[in-house]
Amino acid sequence: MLDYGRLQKRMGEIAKEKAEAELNFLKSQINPHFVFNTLNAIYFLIQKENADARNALHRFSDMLRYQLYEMGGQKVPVEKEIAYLRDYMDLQQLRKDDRYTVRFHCTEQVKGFSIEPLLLVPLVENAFKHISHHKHQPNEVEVSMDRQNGQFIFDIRNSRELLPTTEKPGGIGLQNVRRRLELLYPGKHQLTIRETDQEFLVNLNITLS
Amino acid sequence: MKIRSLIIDDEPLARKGLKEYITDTSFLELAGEFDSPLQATELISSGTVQLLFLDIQMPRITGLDYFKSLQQPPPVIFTTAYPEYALEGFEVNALDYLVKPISFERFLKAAHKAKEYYELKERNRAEGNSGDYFFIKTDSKLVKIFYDEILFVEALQNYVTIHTATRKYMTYLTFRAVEEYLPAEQFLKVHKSYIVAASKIDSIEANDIRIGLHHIPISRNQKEEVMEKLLRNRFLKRE
Repeated sequence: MLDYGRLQKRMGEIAKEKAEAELNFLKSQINPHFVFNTLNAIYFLIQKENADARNALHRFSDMLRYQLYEMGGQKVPVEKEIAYLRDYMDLQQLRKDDRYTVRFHCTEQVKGFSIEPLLLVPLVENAFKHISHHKHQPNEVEVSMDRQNGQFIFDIRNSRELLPTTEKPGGIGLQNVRRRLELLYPGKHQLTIRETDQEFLVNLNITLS
Repeated sequence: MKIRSLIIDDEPLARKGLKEYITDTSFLELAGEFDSPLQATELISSGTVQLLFLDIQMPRITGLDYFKSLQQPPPVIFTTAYPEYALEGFEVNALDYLVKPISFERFLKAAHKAKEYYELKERNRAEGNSGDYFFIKTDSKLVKIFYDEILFVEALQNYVTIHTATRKYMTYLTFRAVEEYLPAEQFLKVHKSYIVAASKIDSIEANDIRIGLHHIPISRNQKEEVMEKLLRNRFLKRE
């Protein structure tokens, strides 16, 4: 009887947790129709002479749309993921002064294949999160992409410093990338992380099928 | 020639932006703007609107449903907050889809499609008028038809039937293509499925046109417009 009571209590707790999870999920849903119509309105509130502001808002919208609509788990053309990364990096550059340099290289070969959406994004986010903040030396993020012998090659490098920062260590971003890679490209990928006192480097190779 | 463009969107800032773009595009001019589709019907059926910028999600009726309800829809460019592929809009024959927020660059690309559409139409018309006949394909052969042989044209699902005094020809064409091809001075669409040769009409009684032994209906909501066009300068009456 005692066990039965405990079981019932546990089941009640599970039901409650499930309801809470669902509620949180629903709260996190924002109506895309509202979002993009609002962005459109703000876009036209900006004087057309202010092309930089309109352009930045447009890029931001493209990023949001990609996030909202490419979450279905379907692979996307690599060009779309690249466009997203470029928008992200340009907006990051916009927020920083000229002590920070953002570089993006992509060879001609990187096109015409599909990849998992938003797979590379956490790596880029991570680089910006841990970038150095030197006063008199350059601070850099550099991305390179290539395709050779059926392999997609992604490299990212950022300058770093060993000073204490407000960013929490723990690297949940990289952990997530590892987990996703194991699920999505089992036995078909290689993730290498190297770090020195000055630099943080990530290399990702994916065998394209 | 400037393309007369109409904006329908329930949001004022969205309309303001499109107005700005239309003003900044040399080959477009603003025909008007409405915050609800239902108000636009009169202007659209007057036939003076050449291009429609139509929002999809609006309070009373969606842009898509509204567009489908139009008797003689002008070419349309949809404007929408949804990504293109989420639209059922592909089933209606839109020139383009603009996803909000809309950049001028992207707008211009869509506007150019409208420009090309009208340039092509004008060329077809110019070439079409160079002779007094054309060919259609019927029963796997090409048949010559003189414009002045035609009594009326009837739409039949995927086919079109062209009636002359002596016989009828069934051909695999869209009604809209025929409508656009035939010279507007001589032919008149009187119903969503009928185009008549104005000079061949024998009599009109209520909503019924007679050409020889044929009876052709006039669409009720186009009656006034049809009568106006048919009788312009040709109605002798006691003032």
